[in-house]
Amino acid sequence: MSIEMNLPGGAAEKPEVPAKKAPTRQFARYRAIEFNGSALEYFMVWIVNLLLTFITIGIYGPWAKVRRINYFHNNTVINGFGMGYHATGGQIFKGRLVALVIIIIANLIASLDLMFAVLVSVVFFFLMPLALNRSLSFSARNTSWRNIRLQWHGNYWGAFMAIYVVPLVSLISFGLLGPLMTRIFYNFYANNHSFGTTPFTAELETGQAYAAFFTALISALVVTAGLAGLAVMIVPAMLASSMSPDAPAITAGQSLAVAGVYLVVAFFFIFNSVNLALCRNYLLQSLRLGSIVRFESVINPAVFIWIVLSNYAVMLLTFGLMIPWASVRRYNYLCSATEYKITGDINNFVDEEIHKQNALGEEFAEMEGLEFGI
Amino acid sequence: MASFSISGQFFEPRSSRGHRGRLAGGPGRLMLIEDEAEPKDAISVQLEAMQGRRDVYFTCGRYFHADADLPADFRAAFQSRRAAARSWLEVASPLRLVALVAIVVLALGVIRVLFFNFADAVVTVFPRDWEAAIGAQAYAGFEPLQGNPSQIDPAYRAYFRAETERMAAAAGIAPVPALYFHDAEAIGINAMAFPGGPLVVTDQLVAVMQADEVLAVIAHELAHVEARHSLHQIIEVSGLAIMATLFLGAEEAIIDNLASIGITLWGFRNSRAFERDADTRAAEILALSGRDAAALARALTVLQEKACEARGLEPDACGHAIGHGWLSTHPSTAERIERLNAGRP
Repeated sequence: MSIEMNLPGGAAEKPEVPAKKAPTRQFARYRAIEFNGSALEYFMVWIVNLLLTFITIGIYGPWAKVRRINYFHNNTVINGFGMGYHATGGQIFKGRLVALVIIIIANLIASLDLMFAVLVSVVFFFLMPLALNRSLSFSARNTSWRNIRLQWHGNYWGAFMAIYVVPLVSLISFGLLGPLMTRIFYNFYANNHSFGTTPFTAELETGQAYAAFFTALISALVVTAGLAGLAVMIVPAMLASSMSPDAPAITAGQSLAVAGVYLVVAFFFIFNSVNLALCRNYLLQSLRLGSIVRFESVINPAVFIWIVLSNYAVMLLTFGLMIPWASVRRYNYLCSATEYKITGDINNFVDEEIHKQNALGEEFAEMEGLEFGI
Repeated sequence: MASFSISGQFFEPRSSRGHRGRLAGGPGRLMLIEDEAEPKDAISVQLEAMQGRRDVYFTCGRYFHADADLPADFRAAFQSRRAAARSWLEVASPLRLVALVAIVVLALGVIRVLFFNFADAVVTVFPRDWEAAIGAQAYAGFEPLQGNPSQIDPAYRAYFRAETERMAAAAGIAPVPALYFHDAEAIGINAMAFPGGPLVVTDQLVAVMQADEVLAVIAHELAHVEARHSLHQIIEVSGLAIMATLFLGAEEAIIDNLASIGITLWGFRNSRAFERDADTRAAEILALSGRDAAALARALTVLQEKACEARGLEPDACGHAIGHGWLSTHPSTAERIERLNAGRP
């Protein structure tokens, strides 16, 4: 049986059947990002990477890096689709080589004379924001989902502010303006990313940043006070049982001073972990991808701290053999604590022209220890 | 495989709009065919990469996501030999796991031997004037010394300098490094050798030792300069750091930190070996210049007594504890004294 329709203007025309498109799913509730990798699987990837890198005396390193990132990206599943990573080992190798040569030459020049050292430091000082922008751009552009790549739109002065101004203002204000700076930093990072031509928008509010700050501060103080109490009770008792009666007063003081250093480290570790976890939660709550996707973050700071600390302990006790297990464990937790809700049609995203980039900025930033993320 | 047909979704370049269809073809040819489209409308594509279990990227910018894991024969047909070999290595099995770990450990051993021979070669060819420039700059920038001139009688200092030149000449060490004295409370009883030469002795050390003991300490520092230990340390530790970055990729701060800890511990081990070598050579320098070689053991005994005093302990109780263990840059003082007294090389 055929159906004919008489349309205005005369002859009946068959209506055009729209191209069959894949159904899109919208969710009434948030779903967690899935991670399909496993510790054993990643251990094999990791040990093969290590072996090939050793055999080639480091030359295989860039390909190992690509393989590693590929593993984590491909197994990060959002709405049934894994992420893609498109950088090649060759790009990273060239970038790393050039960055290494620049750093070696700069260090050699700097060691010859104090004036040269100052000059090199000044040049590097102004080079870092550029390297960081290039690094973020490279990383974003080589990450995709459903055939659309991320983009980074940050500029030099934004990166300059993030690297230098934000930490400096936090420091000179004894941390009181820290939350304000954290807000600036997080908003800069989130709002300068886009998914193809669709921008991400987010707003970490000042009140939320200060709430995270004071929660972190109180948590760190409580835990550190508890540890300090333990140290005051345990250290002198341990020393008294092993030293001569004449010595304890001096040596206990020295030991408590050393314990004090560790307590300061513990304080800042707990403070930073709690603060960053809470700020991430707040930021992702406001994160939107156009009007199509919403996000949520439900990191429990105590759980995250436990994972980080126990990972450290296990890796140290196993001389690094459990690094893959620890990496998967941490990544798995972060995925499970990051949620999304699709509220629109995800078929409508469009990407920009793809231009191949070199990896010099990324490798330079990595060698100089610049890490940037939330 | 003769031909295949894999169902899934494909995406046009730069679009997230999925189209139900199939990836079809055979070795050397790939086509994307939309469901309900005519075969003549099939799109010829060239594979760029397979990622994960289900994703295929094409050079034209299209992307295909399979409904199920890509078949093994499809992968075999389109995967490069290198990628196939790597995938084979990555398949988890107990035997493969043990073999890979064993090979990694063996490779580490080989690299250790190669690397440290290479480091020796680098030290040998490293220009001495560069080394001297590094040492001079390090000395100039060492805060605890600068601005703290020595309070020792100039005649006494001149005596030590003259004796240092005599010891160096007798041992064939040239050029003779400059010798400086500083009143450095922050450093205490100490002496040090910078790369390529400046030797520094603190007033605090001179105050607690006899002249021949001070000269024995200076002979020890001369031995460090002669053997270029500081340069060795810099090159080995820097080289290890570069290798760690290359090998481990600094993928996470934790790995960076673990690598730093490992490198630092290596540095300490190296340092202890250098100290033993310098003790041995110092005894030779003292003997060659007609001085009493036992003066170094006496100097170390004084150092040990002072260190124990600072801890409020009897020397016998703390001798082996000071500077002991794998976290120390020096062998224990007691061990050093025993070796020198035994006259063992």
